[in-house]
Amino acid sequence: MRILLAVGCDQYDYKPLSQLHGAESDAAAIFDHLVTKGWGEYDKARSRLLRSPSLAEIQNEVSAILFNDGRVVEFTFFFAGHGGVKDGAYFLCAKDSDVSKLSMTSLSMTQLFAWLNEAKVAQTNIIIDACQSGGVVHDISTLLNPNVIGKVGSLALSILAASGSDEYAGEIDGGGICTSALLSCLRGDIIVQTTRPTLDLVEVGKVVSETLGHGNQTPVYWGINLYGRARLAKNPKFAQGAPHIAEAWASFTPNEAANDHIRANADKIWGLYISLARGFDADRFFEVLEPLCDHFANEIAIASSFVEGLANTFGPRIRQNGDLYDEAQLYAACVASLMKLIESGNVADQVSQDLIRRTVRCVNEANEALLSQLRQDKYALLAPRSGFSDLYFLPLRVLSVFGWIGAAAQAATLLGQPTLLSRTAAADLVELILAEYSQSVVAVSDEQAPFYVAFVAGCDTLDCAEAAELTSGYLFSTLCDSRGQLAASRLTGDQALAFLDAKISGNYADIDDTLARPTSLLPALILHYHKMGMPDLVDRAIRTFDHVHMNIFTPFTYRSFCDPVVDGINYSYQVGHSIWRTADLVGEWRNIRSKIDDDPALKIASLRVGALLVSLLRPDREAWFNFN
Amino acid sequence: MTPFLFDARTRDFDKAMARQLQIEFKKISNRMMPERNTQRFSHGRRWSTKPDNGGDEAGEMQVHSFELSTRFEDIVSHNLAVLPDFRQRIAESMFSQLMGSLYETVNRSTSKSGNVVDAKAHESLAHAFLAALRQIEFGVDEDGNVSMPEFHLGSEAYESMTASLEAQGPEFREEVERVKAEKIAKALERETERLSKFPHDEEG
Repeated sequence: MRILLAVGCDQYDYKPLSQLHGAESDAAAIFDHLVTKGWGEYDKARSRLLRSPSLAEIQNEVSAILFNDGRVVEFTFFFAGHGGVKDGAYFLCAKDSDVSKLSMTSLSMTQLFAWLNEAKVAQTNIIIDACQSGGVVHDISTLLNPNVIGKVGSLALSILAASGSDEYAGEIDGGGICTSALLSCLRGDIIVQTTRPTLDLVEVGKVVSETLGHGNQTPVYWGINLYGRARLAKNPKFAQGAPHIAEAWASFTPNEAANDHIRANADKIWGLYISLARGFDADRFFEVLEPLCDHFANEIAIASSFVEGLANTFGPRIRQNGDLYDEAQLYAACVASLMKLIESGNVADQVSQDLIRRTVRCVNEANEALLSQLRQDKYALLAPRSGFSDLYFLPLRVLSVFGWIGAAAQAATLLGQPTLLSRTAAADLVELILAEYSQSVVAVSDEQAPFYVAFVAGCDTLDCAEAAELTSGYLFSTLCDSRGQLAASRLTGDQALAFLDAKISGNYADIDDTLARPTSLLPALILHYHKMGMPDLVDRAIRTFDHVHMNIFTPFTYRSFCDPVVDGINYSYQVGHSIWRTADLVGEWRNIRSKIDDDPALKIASLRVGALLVSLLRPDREAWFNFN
Repeated sequence: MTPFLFDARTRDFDKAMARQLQIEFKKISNRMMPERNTQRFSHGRRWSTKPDNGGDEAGEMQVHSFELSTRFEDIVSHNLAVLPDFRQRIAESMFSQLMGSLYETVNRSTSKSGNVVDAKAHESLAHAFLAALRQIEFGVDEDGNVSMPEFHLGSEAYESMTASLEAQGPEFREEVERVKAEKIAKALERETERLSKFPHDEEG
């Protein structure tokens, strides 16, 4: 059941809380749009509009909504009026609120969260268009204190809060500026998005915030929603049919046991969310997600809903950091988390496909943004606060960009939507990087292997054969220079420095354990040279790699490809012992390839893409299956 | 925004490099000052002490800072040579600043005590050397061995000094040896006197 409680308070009994003029009409306008006109599909009988109520009236109404007549699944609370912070708690002022005893006479958010928790509301939207008055400290951010919000057991909460500096913020035409912008979004006067039939509060909040700019009343929007996608209202601008709120949502709601399990892991999920401010860390993400998804192994709908919710919650947070490849990695990691549950056409497959599309879109946006940056500043690929570390990490960064471009191209093609990725932007970016950073296309670490494999496989789709040839050439020649000595995958920073020192001196004796032995980059290069019809180039130089160990790893099933340690077979060879020329490796590869193709998991497009994306998130394994 | 920053690993890399430089600095400072004469303070920037003959009563830490730049182009072109080059340049800068600071301290201390020899006031550099030797007090290390003074000269001054010393006759050398023997004896005498200030066994 969906219920709206809209409260607008113009009348105040005690000074210094002043009389307002637009709060009641704002609450009425929201109620009219979402309930009376049906745009929110809220229950008309149980939804309520309160005009200048006392605290007791608000409490009674909340109690009646949350605790009488069955469970409320989705609850939206709108408040317009005075609000404020005292002793770190945020309070909403009712008609009879007295600032001198705020905690006794007004509704604290902490109290509201406690009620929502007890009523086990699955999804809550809170909209506050309040102002400060009477000398109460102005700090809406207190509302967003994780210690307060973390007490909400449902872990499905979205907030839009605006606070003016003094008056009932910048009233225009008898209404608050924030609510006016909100209503413009809900009515479709301002377009939020056109691709989904419903609007959620976080995406609306983002548009409202952008609309209001950085004036006195910049709204704060925030949401954590681990159960599918929150629905505030129908989307009047939905382009693919009639806007609607799907019935399927209720079945996505976790049962009590699942809810308890997610709640028990709330601290870890919160920790993960907070850590996003420092960028996306795939290892940390998997560390938290793997046990949770394993727990829901037999509850595919719940696991899928949970992962989708996580993507919806974490995505906007990562986007604030400004690195769109990071956001792509988040969605990719969400797909990876569902790999064991995907069957053709099931809910995990559907959710994964949606997440893959988001991954590709983010890579596309990231490509365009990076292309633009590089055109303005040719050094835009250098780390801003680092100098010498880029001698090691810049070659990895270049290959990472190439790898994600290649993976996105393959993913879009495998989903049958090749236009999701702009080939022009991708090709232009690769070309520009190869022009400006050719000397950083250097074989440094075996960590580059999965990105190289993804890139050259994607180049088929992107029609970038020349770029693949150039990249292969640069990597191969530098690998020859170092006689096949590469750093192992995922060295720590101090190991990376030790490796560079060894490379400079040519003495690798003291850093034996940080070398890639065997290497997967060398066989990838050899096989690609064969594909390009240039095996003779390799054969002329292959003696340089005498005694170098090579490896091609394939898992028993690509469903398990995201495991920290994957079970499978290492096809291991040594130059000068089992391999003397390109043809020797190609012969071995044909046998391996036929075994890879036997894995039924790779017949499912989303799983195949998932495995490809995993190879970039955990770059100690390669997606050989797309390597022809 | 730069993508794929490898942020944590980059920080580790930079820290590891800072550690390398610390080790390098220690090697350099140990060349000038024995480790046992090096002190490390956890707090404060100033110190006050009760000096023995002619030492400073108070002091303040001096900040040594270096700014070396590396061209973006060197990083983009994966020029690994910049890494050892940077370390060498920073080591040279550290050495140069440390020596500057050391001479400044010695100069301040000698100016205060008047223990200065003007080379031009002597008939030759060799005689100025002898005058300096007469004014220096030798030290005694923790093992009771007398430590000889060090003379720090620029390359030109070194050559002139060597030539002047070699041009002296045996009398001069004998006089140098006599002053040295006298200084050694005095140093040992002062050491005995210093040690005698500790409580005797029977007092203990």
